[in-house]
Amino acid sequence: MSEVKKVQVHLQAVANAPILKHKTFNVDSNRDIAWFTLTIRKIMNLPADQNLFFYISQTFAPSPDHTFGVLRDCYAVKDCVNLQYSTTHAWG
Amino acid sequence: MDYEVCRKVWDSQIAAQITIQNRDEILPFYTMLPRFSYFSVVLQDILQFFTSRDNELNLDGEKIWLESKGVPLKMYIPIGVIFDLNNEVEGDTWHIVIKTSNAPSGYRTINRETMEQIYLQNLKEADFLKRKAETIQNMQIDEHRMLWDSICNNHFDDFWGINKKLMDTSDKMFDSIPLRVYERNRPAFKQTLLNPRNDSGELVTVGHAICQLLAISEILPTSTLISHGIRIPAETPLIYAAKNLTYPDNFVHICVLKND
Amino acid sequence: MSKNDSFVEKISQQLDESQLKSKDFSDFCKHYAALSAEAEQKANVRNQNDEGSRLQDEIAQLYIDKGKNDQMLIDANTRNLRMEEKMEDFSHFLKQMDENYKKKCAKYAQLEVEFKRMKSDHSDNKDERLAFNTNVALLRDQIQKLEDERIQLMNKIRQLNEQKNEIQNAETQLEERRASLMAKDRANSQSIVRKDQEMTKLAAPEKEIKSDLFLADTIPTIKMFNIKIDDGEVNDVKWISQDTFATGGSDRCVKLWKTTDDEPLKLNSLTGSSASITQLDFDPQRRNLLASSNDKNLLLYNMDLLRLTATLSGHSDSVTCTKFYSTNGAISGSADRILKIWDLASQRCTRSFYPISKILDLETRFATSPAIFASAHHDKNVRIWDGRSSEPAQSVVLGGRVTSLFMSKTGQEMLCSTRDDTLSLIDIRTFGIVHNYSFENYHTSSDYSRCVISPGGDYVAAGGSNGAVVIWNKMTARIEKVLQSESESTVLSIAWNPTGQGLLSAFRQKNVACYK
Repeated sequence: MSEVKKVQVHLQAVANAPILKHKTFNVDSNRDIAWFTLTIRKIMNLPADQNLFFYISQTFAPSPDHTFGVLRDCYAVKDCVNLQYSTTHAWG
Repeated sequence: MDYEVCRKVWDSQIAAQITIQNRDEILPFYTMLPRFSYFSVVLQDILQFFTSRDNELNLDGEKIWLESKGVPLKMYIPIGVIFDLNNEVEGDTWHIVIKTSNAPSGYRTINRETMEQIYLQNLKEADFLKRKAETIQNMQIDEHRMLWDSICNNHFDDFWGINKKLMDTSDKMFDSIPLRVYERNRPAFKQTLLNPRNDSGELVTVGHAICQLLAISEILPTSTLISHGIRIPAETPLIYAAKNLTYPDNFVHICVLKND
Repeated sequence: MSKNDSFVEKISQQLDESQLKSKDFSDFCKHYAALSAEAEQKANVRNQNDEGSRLQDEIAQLYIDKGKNDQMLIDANTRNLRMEEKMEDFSHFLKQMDENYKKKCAKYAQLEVEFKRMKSDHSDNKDERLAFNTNVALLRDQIQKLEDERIQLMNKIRQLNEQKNEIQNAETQLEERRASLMAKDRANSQSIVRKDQEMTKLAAPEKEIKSDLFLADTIPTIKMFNIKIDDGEVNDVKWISQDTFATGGSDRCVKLWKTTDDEPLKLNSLTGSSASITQLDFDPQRRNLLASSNDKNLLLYNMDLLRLTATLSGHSDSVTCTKFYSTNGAISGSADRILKIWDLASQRCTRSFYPISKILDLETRFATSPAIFASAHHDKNVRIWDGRSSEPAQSVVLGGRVTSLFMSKTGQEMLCSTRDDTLSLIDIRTFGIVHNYSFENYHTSSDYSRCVISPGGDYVAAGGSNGAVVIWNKMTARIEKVLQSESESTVLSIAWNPTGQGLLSAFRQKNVACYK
């Protein structure tokens, strides 16, 4: 089954977002953005009142229910999902 | 655009009975919920109804959460999609409970302003799939705002006046169709890149698209494709669905129900 | 959709059905909402009945309160009255303010109108100014263009002038060559003629001795006569022989006189000038007389025939001085700052010199070379020229404007009169000043005041502005004599008789006096 697969995710900081030590992650394809947001918040130690947004193609923020399997199917470049992250609204 | 179908889709509603958790003495509120809308939008009126009847009732719009038959209701998914996904029999009254206890982890209570942001992001994603988001980025901020306002105020004509730009294929066909498929008891939707035409140039039907998406050879006769509370014929061309059966976020949301 | 596809029909039909179902419920919702509102109202009414008896008690209490309130009302009324009075005052004040306000408004409106008018005026002025500015710019461009043209024309004029000079000088050279050729011819023919003349001389007695008979220099002491010339100032006076002399001045003619024992006799008037005569000169043989005139011309008279032989024109301003120069030549100086050499045979100007200053007098008769001549200038310079080169050979700077030059008979010393009231004697071999002559009562009379050296070379003399003629000893520079005239009119020119005995002085006021 394809759901067991890992999806390679690459993160890029936007604006004054904190820089991460590791920018590339392997995420289970059935994990969703909501989970990923919580995980990255923990890694970055973001305070509760600070937002964290992810963007695809510097255009739109994926829905929290988006699984990485879907993101890979729809938006991966060379099998790698590129996400931009920002602590403020970046693109509209 | 098929005006008649679009208008009927817009007008379809769900009968709902709304009660407040642990306050049986308060009479329930009955209302018709528009399918295309969001709980974040309609909740304001509902809460006002309750507070006008009982002044002592203190409902914090930022803390309450919604539940139906023990299932938390996600506020950022269109009402119609939530209903189709959680109710067996269409036409039943939907029992919704406003909960004031602590929300389950991961549940987000979303106010109208945040919802507007989420809605816009969905709209962008749909347009990104259709034509790399060119149309939406060429629109003015005012037009984005008007789209949202016409959803909040239930203005069909205003909405389609702007939405038709996003649906226009006179210059260029859509690259791929924004279609999300939901299955009962599965938390996430399925979505992939779907061309409106297959390799031999024929129009792809909704049925084929769903087979491709779910990686199955055919749709079982026991399965039904539900959207807007109706069964979508499997032979409906994908492009027709994309133009006339979308929710305001420009996605076609279809629930695949297996009737065992 | 053009083809009424079955799927559209299916979809449409299902949507209709669901709408129909929801319509029932929606009606129910409306009724329910109405009922719940009514129920709410009724519940409120029931609550009110229960409270009736309690309200009666409250009413009794209220009556008591009312009594208190009445008293307070009366107080309040009186206070009210007072307030009303105040209000009236205030409203009166308000009315006044209102009137003031209206007046101010009217004034403001007036000002507004005025302001608008001024604004429009201002914009008009602005437009005019703009138009004017563009005009000015246009005119300035034109001026610039004209200026450029002018400069070009000036340059052209300068070039043409230079060309003219070159051509003139070339002409002169040609002339000289021709003259030398002619001279050769003449020399050939002269040798023949001389032989003839010697023959005739032997045959005929001498006609007239024109050479001056010099006796000895004597200091004049007595006034011999004083004649009145008809018209205005007498600019120059010259002895022709021991008993005849010529005068020239603003009477526009040269008059010839003969001295007798008492009053001198007027021999002749030579006319031809249309303005004052400025200077006279004779050739050594006394055959020709040159007169320079303010009419920019030079007049040449034949003394044998007493007739005007030539009018030499070419100067562009008054001719101030003239002298015979070399054989058959003359030289003239003018206020136009040009020196011209004339060939009297052809009556043409052979050469022009361009000193930078106005010429006041000229002197030739240099012992060193007949080609050399000197000019006295307004810029305190005496310039020495060699007629063959266009630049001055030498210049001597004196203390003031140089009014006159006089060469001694030997041709070795030149007397200069300057406007700083002194006379200077220059040795023409060294061009150094040998002597200075001055006197407390002597003041140089004018820019053209003449001075003389006596024929014997013993004395120098000059006429002053007070009418006196002062005579110095040439060697010692001591005063020998002051000849006072009664008229005290300025002396413009003096002339010493070639015999050494007799001095003529010409005055500004119609007079010529002779002292012996």
